Amino acid sequence: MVDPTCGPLCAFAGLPAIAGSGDGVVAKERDGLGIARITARDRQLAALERLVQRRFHLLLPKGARRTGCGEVSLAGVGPESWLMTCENAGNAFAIGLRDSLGGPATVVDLSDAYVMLRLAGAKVRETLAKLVPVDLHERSFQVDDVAQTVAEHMAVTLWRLGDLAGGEAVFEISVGRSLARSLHGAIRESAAEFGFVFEPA
Amino acid sequence: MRIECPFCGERDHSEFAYFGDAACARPAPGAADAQARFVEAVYLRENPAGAHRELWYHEFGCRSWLQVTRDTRTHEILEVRLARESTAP
Repeated sequence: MVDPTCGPLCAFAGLPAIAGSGDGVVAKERDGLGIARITARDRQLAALERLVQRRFHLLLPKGARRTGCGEVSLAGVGPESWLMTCENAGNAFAIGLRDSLGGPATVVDLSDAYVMLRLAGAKVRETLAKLVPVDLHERSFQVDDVAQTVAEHMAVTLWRLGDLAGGEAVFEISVGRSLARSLHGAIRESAAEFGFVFEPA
Repeated sequence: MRIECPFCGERDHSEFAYFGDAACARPAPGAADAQARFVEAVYLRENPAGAHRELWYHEFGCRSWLQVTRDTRTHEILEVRLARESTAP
């Protein structure tokens, strides 16, 4: 049951924090992210590129790739469309974006629409391989690659961050908020044989 | 069957939704023979054994409309392009 005292921000409230034994997969809830989708208006791509570069010192990634600078990241999620995130910014991020990029782009605040998990651990690839129909081999799905696909029939956005110092791969996966518990369950069950640890926000 | 999405790369067909014939143009509703043309556009479709130009939506991916040329006999995908970049029909 959902803990009614928890409030609307806790999409993963009351879910099991461990499954199996060990820490083959460690999932950490990404809390407080500002998330917005920006899409270039008709024939405004060049103007948007200039604005993003001036404002965030980032080049719009070509294709399904991501890039980041400081607290802001940009991930290509469709032709002339990007998912932008900002650490600890919440809804204020999209409000600010509307002012700075709203001329050449449509800006949609998705901070409350999506939840995101950061997945690490020695068995993260083996676990994700059970869930998504995308080749996650390190040569095929490289650092900063982005994939929008399905995991257990849930539409997810997945990307790979830079490896940890020991060479361990790190991924972030996001899903619609109402599917948070289902995604948690799918990952937990898939990771149980390797040991699963969940760190809620 | 796999479709090479121009944005996402090669994906299983279960990520896509089939819409239909891409070569079929909507007739002008104001034309004098509009009714006959609409009957033709709705009911009299080509049903080729071979290359067929069709629209697919990458619903569980980049959500782009694609124009796919598929061999209806073998399901071989001959060409994929973004519908927005296509001049057809």
